[in-house]
Amino acid sequence: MRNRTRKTKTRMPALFTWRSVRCMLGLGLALITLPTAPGAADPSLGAGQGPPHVPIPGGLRGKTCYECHIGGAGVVLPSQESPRRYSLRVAFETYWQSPHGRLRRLGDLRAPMCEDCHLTREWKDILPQELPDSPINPVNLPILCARCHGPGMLTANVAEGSMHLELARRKLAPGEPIAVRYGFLPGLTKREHAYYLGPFDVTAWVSTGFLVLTVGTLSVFALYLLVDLRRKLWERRERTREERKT
Amino acid sequence: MKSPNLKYQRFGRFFRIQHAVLFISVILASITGLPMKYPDAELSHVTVRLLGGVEMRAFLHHAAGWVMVGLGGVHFVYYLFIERGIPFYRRPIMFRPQDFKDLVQHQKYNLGLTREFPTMGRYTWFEKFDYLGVIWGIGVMGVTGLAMLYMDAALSFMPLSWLQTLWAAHSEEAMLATLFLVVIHMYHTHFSPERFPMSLTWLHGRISQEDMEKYHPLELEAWNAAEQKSGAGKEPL
Repeated sequence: MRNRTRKTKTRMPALFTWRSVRCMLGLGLALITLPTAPGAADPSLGAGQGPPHVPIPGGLRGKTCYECHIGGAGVVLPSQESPRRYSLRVAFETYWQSPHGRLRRLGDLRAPMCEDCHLTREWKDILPQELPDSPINPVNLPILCARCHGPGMLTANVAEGSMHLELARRKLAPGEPIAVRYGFLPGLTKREHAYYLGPFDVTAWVSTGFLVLTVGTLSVFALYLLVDLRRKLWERRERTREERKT
Repeated sequence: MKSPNLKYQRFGRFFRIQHAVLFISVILASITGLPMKYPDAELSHVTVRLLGGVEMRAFLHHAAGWVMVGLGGVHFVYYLFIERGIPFYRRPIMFRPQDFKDLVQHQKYNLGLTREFPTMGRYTWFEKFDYLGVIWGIGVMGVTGLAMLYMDAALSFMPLSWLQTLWAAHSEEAMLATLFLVVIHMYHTHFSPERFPMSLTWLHGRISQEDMEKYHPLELEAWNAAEQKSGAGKEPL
């Protein structure tokens, strides 16, 4: 029979004293109120809340994106089919979060910026995606990506996804097409719709799943760790006290 | 610091080499990967500059990843060949219902609700959890990382949106693994009052009589029984 009882000599004081409970309540309250503190709020950019619709006379020739769009609150170019289509604020924010944007922020000058993908070959104009001359037309996309990533990109799969993914604000709720939600209509293919819409928005589910896993694991273990630390410190104190006595 | 009586050889040389390769590659991968997660932080820019630029950062990250994946393969083969007589589900590293009971008992003991410390075998419940984390981590980071590194091959059979999902998983799992290691593994091996400033088991593979009695009494029993039977100590893994 295994010996399962190895008793310590004195009993440890209880964890839930009035003082410790007060401490925990205070800490909990601080953690709850912190995100709602003034200045902590983040203005969300949902569908329909975009910047005002400002028509720009003339073409885009001789201008770069930032000159008009990034400096201010963001400008939406006119488009008959979908008014929020060219919300450059969303476009820029999503680019900023993408691997290309992140590399650029780290100082990698090889990473492309807006005009590297959106300007036509002759470096003259930015065209809507559905026009055959647009470099981001799904038919032309493989060639565009292959310019930097090599001939391995020459596959139609490259066009089945958007470089302007918005991970931070993606929602798990079903029903809203990504084009409406994020102000893009990037010529979604049927296959892409399946992955981006509603409950099948796999990327959002994966991100959220990992977030829950991370926060869950760490908070449970952090709690264990604090209780364990308290116990071990107490045991050490008891041991030194006993050693001193003897 | 009094020197403990390190009489029990718990980890053999090959095991310690695997651990060293693992932590070197994980630390390198975190250092070179975190700047991509926080590209605006001053520390990220300092790190990239110290590493020798953005291209070197990428190279070192990929190299660390490859070492980690390679180690995963080596460990898999190693796992197939150690303790060959025992079926997989009965190996000492595998979780069983007793581990859950030990976990609950350990928490009760820490909270002062009981005076009985759980009687554990070769691996304690938290060591098994660490191991599970490493297996899960190498799996997720390996699959997602290789898909991104060999984008051409990956895109030949999956759409770009899948690759982006894998990218999200890589980034999130990296955060989970780094935080777990920095907070919990560091506590168990460095900051715990029993270990501070550091447990040297990763170097020599031995642990003290006291630790053996507290954390692995069942293994100690088995070792003593084997010693009495054969007249010599049991070979470590």
